[in-house]
Amino acid sequence: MQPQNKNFKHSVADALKNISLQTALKNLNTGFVSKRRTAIENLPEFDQIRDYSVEIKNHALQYLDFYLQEFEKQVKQQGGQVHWAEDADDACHIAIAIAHDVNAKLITKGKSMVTEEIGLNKAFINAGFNVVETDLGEYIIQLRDEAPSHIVVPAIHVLKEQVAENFFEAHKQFDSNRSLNNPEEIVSEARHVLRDKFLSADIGVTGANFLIAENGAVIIVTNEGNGDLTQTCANTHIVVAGIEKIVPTINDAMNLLRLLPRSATGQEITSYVTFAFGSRRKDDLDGPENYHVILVDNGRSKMLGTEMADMLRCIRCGACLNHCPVYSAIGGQAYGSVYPGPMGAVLSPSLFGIKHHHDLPNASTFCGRCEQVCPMRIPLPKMMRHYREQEFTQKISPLTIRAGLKSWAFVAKNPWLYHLVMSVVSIALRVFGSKKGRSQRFLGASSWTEFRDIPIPASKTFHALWRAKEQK
Amino acid sequence: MNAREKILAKIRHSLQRDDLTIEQVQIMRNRYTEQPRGILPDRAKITKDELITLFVDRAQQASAIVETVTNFKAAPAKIAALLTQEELTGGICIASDPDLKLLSWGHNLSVRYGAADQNDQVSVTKCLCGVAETGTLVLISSQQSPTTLNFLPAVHIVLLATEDIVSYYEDAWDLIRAMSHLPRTVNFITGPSRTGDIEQKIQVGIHGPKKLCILLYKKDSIL
Amino acid sequence: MKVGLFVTCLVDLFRPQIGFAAIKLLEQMNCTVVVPPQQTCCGQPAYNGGDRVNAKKISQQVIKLFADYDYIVIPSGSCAGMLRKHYPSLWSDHAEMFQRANALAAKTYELTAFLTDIVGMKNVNVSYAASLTYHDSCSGLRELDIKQQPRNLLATVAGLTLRELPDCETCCGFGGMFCVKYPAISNKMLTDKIANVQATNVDVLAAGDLGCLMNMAGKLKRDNSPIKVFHIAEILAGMTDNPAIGEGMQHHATAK
Repeated sequence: MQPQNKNFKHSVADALKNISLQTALKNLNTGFVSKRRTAIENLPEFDQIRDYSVEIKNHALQYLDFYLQEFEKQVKQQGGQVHWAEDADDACHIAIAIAHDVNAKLITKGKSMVTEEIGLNKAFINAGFNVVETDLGEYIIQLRDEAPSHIVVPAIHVLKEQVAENFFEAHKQFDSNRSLNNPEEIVSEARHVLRDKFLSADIGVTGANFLIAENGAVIIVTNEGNGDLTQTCANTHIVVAGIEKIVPTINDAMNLLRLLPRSATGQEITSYVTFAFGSRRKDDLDGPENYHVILVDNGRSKMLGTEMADMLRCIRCGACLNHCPVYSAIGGQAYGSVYPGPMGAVLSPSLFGIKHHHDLPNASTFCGRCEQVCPMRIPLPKMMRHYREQEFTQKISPLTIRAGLKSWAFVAKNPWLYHLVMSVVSIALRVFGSKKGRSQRFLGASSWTEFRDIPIPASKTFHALWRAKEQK
Repeated sequence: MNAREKILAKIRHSLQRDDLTIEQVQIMRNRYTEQPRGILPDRAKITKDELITLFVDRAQQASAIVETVTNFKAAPAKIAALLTQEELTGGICIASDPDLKLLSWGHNLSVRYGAADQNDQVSVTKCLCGVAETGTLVLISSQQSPTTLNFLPAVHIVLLATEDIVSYYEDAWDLIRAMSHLPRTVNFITGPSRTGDIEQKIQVGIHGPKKLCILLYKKDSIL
Repeated sequence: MKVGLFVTCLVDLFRPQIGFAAIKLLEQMNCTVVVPPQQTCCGQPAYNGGDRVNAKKISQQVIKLFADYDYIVIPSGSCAGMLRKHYPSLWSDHAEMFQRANALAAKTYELTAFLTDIVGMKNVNVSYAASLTYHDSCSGLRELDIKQQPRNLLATVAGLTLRELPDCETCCGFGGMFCVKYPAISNKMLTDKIANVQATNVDVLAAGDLGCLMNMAGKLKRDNSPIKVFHIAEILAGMTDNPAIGEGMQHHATAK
């Protein structure tokens, strides 16, 4: 589901007041952050693998047209069909056409961020198909009719009591007096309910973590096994993948595989890494007869060769989200985009336009932690700054901010004016500020003083004092 | 121009170049034959015996159950004992590999061969190899070993010869490339199915098996 | 060794004592310190605000003004990071300016990094009987790898007990314009930081960037906390008898 286009500041205010969200976000830091640190300590080659992986992805993107065609050739040889979608609507139309073609009723889905991006579920539902998310986190937010709040754990903002409530509401087939007090019970019920869906689905839709050019492999990296059951049980398997997911060879992808789970959840490897090669073979006893791959552009090709090209290396690990103090304060839904956090602050304006997401690159202190932990060495703060530059020149940023920055720049470029202004402000602070050395209020500084005092200078400016000293 | 042509054209436009020449294409394809590996972790650059220890350690860290059988023939007895321990009295569904079919599956076990269905609680398969670097099993889909055996039942038992433990994922892929044809699916399996979606606490057995049991044996003891 | 001191606009306006502390420390290590009077701002507000044109103009000014010193030392990780990392990137498409920016960058250091890594200061020769915790300001930490240097220098202050701050590397929420553009988010980050500071039960909080320090001191004082906030330069220079940041002449009144 696409997030609502709420005003960012309102979303932030709601998020900060949301007690269950805040409780959930606290867990995030001690969970994934410390597990990732341990996993990396146990892999001394981590930084070298990062460097190698950056080279691989840069190479793949430099020759993306070639590798996409190689991939397509291989998939077709394995009895699959490859479709190309220029944008979200195209991708949805293709998927719907396939669904009509096979007279589908029920569609199961493995977790896929790109299908969220293109709004596939809504498109399927509007076209009359029944869609069930099978990743537990996605299933939960589907029941809640919410947008995902994290790219790896989409229901991270939901407490177990809330999940239980949703299950009681949605699963009326069970005894209403049953216990759903602990996670085991919830998981057991989800297993039971979704098992039926896997087995009766007409179509299984999955995403792809990597697409391999040399042999057409579609790789998914999962823990639950739902991706596997989704793609194995139904008679039709549709893969939806962004074109940037291409990696030249399997061996190349193994490097990225060593980075992804460690960066995401701190696991050395997920329970399942599955390599799909087309449709059911002649003598197979299971597997889909129909196999489709929908390659989605939706703004990616435009990013190549620009300042934003580095973003195409993203492997969607979520490490930047987990380490971002802004994300940890407000959660994912406040960002108003399927892609939240630092990676979302760059990818959302890239794909959907800066006007729609002008706050995201600004809501950052540039602390740099995201870039520090990014396994693919994406210079996220630099790219956010690039969007700030666009907003400045295109006058998207508020007039007050631009005027304020321009005024300060004018002052900074004229030393005599700078000294004058600083002396005047110094006097004003000392005269009108409190004698306690801090002030709870000061004209024009309410954004600051709402939450903290202003320290008042104890003396004239440094330069005034220094000048006086030098003259002695 | 259809969508495919348009997208390829957009890519080239962004990269400010034309389509690759035949020579350039050949250079790119040569890389497939070279199969370069990247950076391999030191942890698996060890002796064969140490590899077995590493494999067991990593698999257990990932919550797999690892047991040893004296030889391949002893597997059914071991499995029967494990299932009694787990109070799983229903039948087992076994991959129809010839050597699995040759085993004596008595021991009050009801067995069938083939793809798993929703009623199967236990499955038994072999695997292509084990990867020591992370305690990972590599399974290939085939008529004999359908993928559903790996995911539908609650308990998945995998027979792994210690001789078939390799160091790296890349080693496993060397083996797969040597096969006569690509399977429909290759599964890397490390431990049971799990989720962290409920308050980030890991719960086992959400959709795939709740238990993964690896039975190690020495190959030359098959007869 | 002729050192040009880049005072920074925040120090100039809000806490000149930090500038004097820096000078004292540099002179202790036999540097000749010059303070070019025409200096203003490093240009970070323009740069991070997206005004690349003015950021470049300001950087040109700084590059010209500080060209002839052996070293440029700055009591701020973010301003030092601006000169070291971002000035060259501002001029990557202009060969001559790029060369000059690189030349400046190569001799620009944050204060504690300079004292430790360049002039090898082994002992600050001051005493301060207090317990202290140190916040790692983001730019200094991640752009300039400043981590051990302040700790090494603080360890030589007689009587000072260092306690590591939980989540010391997590941003305090200042972020320049960020704290006034997104005050609610900034406040949440700041509140979490202050909770960690207060949990250490120290007498003193220190850091290397005045922006962070004013942010944290502002909150500590709003909360009526007795914890004193100083810039690390002030502690190393033995200037802790003066009122801490956000405290007036009556600072020694009993804590509420």
